[in-house]
Amino acid sequence: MTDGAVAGRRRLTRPDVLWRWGGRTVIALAIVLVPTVAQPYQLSLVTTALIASLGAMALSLVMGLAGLVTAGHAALLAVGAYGAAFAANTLELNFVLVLVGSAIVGAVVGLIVGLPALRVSGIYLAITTLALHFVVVFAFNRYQTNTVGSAGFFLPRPTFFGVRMDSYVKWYVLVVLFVVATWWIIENLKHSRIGRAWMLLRDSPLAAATQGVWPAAYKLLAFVLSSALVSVSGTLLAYFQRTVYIESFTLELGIQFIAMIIIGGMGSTGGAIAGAFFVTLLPTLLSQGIAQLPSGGRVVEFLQANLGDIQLIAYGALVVIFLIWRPDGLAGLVKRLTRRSAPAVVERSSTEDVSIESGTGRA
Amino acid sequence: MTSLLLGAVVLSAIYALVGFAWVLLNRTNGILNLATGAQLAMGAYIFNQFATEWRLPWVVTILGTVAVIAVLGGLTHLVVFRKLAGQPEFALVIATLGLASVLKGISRLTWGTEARIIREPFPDVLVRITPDATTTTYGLLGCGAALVVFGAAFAFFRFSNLGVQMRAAAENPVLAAQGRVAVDWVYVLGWAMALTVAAIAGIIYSYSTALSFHGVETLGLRGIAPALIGGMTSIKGVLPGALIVGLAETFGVKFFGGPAQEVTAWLVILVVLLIRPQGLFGEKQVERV
Repeated sequence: MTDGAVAGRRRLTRPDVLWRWGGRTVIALAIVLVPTVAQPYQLSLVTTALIASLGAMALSLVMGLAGLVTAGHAALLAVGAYGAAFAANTLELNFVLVLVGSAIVGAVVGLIVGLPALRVSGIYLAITTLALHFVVVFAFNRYQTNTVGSAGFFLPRPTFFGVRMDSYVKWYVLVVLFVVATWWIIENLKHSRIGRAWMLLRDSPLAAATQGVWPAAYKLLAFVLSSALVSVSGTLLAYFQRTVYIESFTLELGIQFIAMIIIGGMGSTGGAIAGAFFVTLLPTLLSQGIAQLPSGGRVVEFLQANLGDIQLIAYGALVVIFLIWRPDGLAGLVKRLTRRSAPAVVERSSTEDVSIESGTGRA
Repeated sequence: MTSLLLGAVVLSAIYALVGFAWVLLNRTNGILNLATGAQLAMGAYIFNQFATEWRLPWVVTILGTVAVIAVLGGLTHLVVFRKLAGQPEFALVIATLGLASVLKGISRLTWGTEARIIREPFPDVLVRITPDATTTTYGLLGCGAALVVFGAAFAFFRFSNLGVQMRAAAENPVLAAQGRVAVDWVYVLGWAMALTVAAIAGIIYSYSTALSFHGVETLGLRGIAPALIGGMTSIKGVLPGALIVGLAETFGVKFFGGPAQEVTAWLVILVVLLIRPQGLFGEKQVERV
């Protein structure tokens, strides 16, 4: 995906165009067909995965493009979710206003946490976001205990520009719109001056600095943008599930999102969406798979009783395995496969192409 | 008041040990190890397995724990981080997050989540230091352990051949390898030492409270605060860093109640990075891009 910036300039070959538009047609068909064939429960799962892909795309921006690590994903989701609970219940604000406010609050939190870290070095962001996680979870835990107790907050059914969000299909359409819009914005950003600056920063900070790219400012911009988006996805999820409670915002949730983009492929927007679907649907697939096994066995009982811990191991192991084996994730794998059947695209003339490639590949 | 200060010192000793583990790995292996919390917890549970579950003699317990931890540390390098050599720094940090998730899952599958009491080698009694200040035997044990570890580390890196080799490998792995330093084994040693010291902190901490995964894991993560105040690369800097965090946490709990324990260290981190990003005792980095 990263060399799409270059591909945009290069003369597109016929198989290349075929692949691109063929893929887009299939995806568009799938988007339209899913709500007609899926049962309500399946549609709600798909919607959850789509909301997760918003967060995954945001994380892909920060980690894949700008080369930063953040452990504060769950905290920013919590900011969006608790912000929504507060705005909807206490301030009784309109859904659209809450979404806008959530983006602003998320951006401000990102600025506060990113500013001290990115003055020093990108790696310090991992530390301040870890601090953010514990401070935010502590604060919201106290807030929840002092107001509604351990059951958590309950949210009203929202209305989006006059449409009452009272069916899964409506939610699905709304979230698809969000995902497509975000995908479009990020893809364009990636190919813009800012996106290229991020990739250069990730691949060679020194080279970027000599090209007049101010590292701290660009890194901060990436983190602030993604924080706003993660906060919005937290708000959407809170309204969709209509409950908010502190136990759902764990450090491991952040690692799940990291797993999404490592599996999908760092820096690839489509990969982030694929990774979000994989990680969101895996528990359901696992438990259904286990249910298919002949019951009564000790292994089956053990698996059913410890699904949560097995997930922890699976996501963590997938992250490590992909980092070692395929640092460019499934997106890199797909690209390699499609390239093989369309050899005309494999022409590496410009040095720019090579340098960008090395970022997602083995550096 | 004296009692409170003494309590802060005892807590600082624990933080100094955890901070040591963070700094050692960052310096020797060049890894910001976010799995420190999970690894520290794992070490404490392994000790508990030997001491409480199997009720083995104390010599066997200690030697066995150190051996198992050293093997785990070695595997961590050989199976994971050796394969990641040459990847950018942020990829290594992501790998430590993945590793933390795996270790947490394994630990909870094996030992469950409920709190445990570790079998004691000697009873935990009150010790009166001055007429109005008391501490406990395990508090003193923590202080003693910190003194021994920091003293030994100072002597090791300063005078022993292996210690000098470790410093060389940390400074420039390629040159060190050309100078006949077995870099891989130096990294294995770095992991083993860091994990052992972290486990010591976790075990002594569990004696003063109880052994629960959440409790020791978060202690291990908070231990980044003294390391960061010390500048992330200075072992000496960890000591004043630990004192600051120990004092802040003690007084935080005194004024704002027990739950403040969970956030004080993190707030200290944010404040320190705002005021003096390179840490209070760290050297200003030359290349800051």
